[in-house]
Amino acid sequence: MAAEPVLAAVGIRKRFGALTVLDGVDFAVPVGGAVGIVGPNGAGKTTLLNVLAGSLRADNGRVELNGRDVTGTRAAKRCRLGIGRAFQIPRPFGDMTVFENVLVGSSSGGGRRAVYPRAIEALDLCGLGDVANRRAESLGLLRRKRLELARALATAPDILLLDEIGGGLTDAEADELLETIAVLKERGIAIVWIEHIVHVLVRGVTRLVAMDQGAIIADGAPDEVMRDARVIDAYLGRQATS
Amino acid sequence: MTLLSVENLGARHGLLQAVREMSFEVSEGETLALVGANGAGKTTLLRAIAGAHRPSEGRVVFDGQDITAMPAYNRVRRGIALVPEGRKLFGHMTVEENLRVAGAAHREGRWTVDEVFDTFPLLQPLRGRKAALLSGGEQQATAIGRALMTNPKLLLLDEVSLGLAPNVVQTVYDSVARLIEGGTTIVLVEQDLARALAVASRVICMLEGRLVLEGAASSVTREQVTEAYFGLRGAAA
Repeated sequence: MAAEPVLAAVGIRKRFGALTVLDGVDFAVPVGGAVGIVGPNGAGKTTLLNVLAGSLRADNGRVELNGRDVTGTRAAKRCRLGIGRAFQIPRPFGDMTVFENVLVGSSSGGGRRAVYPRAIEALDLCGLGDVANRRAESLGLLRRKRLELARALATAPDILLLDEIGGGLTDAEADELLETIAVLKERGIAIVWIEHIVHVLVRGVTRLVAMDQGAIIADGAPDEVMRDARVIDAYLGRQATS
Repeated sequence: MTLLSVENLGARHGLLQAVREMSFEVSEGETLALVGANGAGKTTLLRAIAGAHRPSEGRVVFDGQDITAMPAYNRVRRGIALVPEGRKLFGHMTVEENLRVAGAAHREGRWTVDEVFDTFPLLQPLRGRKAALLSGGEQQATAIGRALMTNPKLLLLDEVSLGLAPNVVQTVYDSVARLIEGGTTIVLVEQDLARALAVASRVICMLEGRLVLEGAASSVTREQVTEAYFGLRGAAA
């Protein structure tokens, strides 16, 4: 892997009390790369994402963004430096319009210039142009998820962190989401995507990392990782020897 | 004889459709395991059967009666008991008090406080201890004991092994096996597939709220479950 990583985490350790949630994780995403993270409940996926985004400080380890050490940099600053994030449960500002919500994004990252055009572009990319003036609380689930994505996109990120944005969608809606993700990838935005809906995730990423108990247990092509016996054991429990 | 019949059941969390068009039956004396990834809808389904989550579509028929609109406390009186994920004990009350609260449901049956202590000997010396001070395994035993105190015809177990050390999980499942031998009908949600298949007579796999695989625990293969679990064809090939 010769490509310069846009985001790299080295030797990340995080404990919550007696529980080691991340046990020396090394993780890097090349420029424009699309990496999925899977793993059973409690594997440490969201904690890793929190450490990458800067909303959680690791006990040990280093995080680099575009070659710059951002380990001690807060989440809001990291957002301005190029890390966008979409959350599992969309929490738009309900009494603001869709456009205003995205404007919050474009004002929070990507510099002071072209704040409006960037918001409009993000809306269009996420297929929200026709509902831009509706109050966010009136949106259904798919559009809320799109808004979550648009808001993160409006920060002009080099890398987008996506946390379970595929849940609760119909097959057709998941297809639409994948099309949007494909456009982002074409634009050179790197993606780290945590997702329980594995059959959707494997279509949206080119590399899959599997975690279990705070460590990476497999890393490679999505179909190979999902065939890995260690990964299946991590999800389903060890196979009974009979 | 059919004890529980779930008919075309749907359940939502706000905008999210957590359970879709679920239909299945549970016969008396049977042990059904519900497996599936996080977010597949297992817990919501279990809670809908218990009356703790109102379904958006469909029916739940128990013991020949439509109970879809029946409140949870009346379902307990009819013989449905849920051991919820995370145990949900009354932390400030003692082990014995937790058991006695459930005993107030006044269903005839064999379960008494002493019977629970016979089944879970580890609880005997702890009967006067506050539930909040128990270990995870002790809490789980108390939670199952509390459900048994209602003398249920149908016991719903939601991830009883979650957060427990492996040897404690074994203890809990030994007691579940004894309940099954005693004829208790059980629907259980379990992440550990090997354990679920070992204890259950039938297994249902859910994916994004739907039933995607159903079969006898003895005939369903790990490959079939893996494929259904992830929604991937040939995942374990």
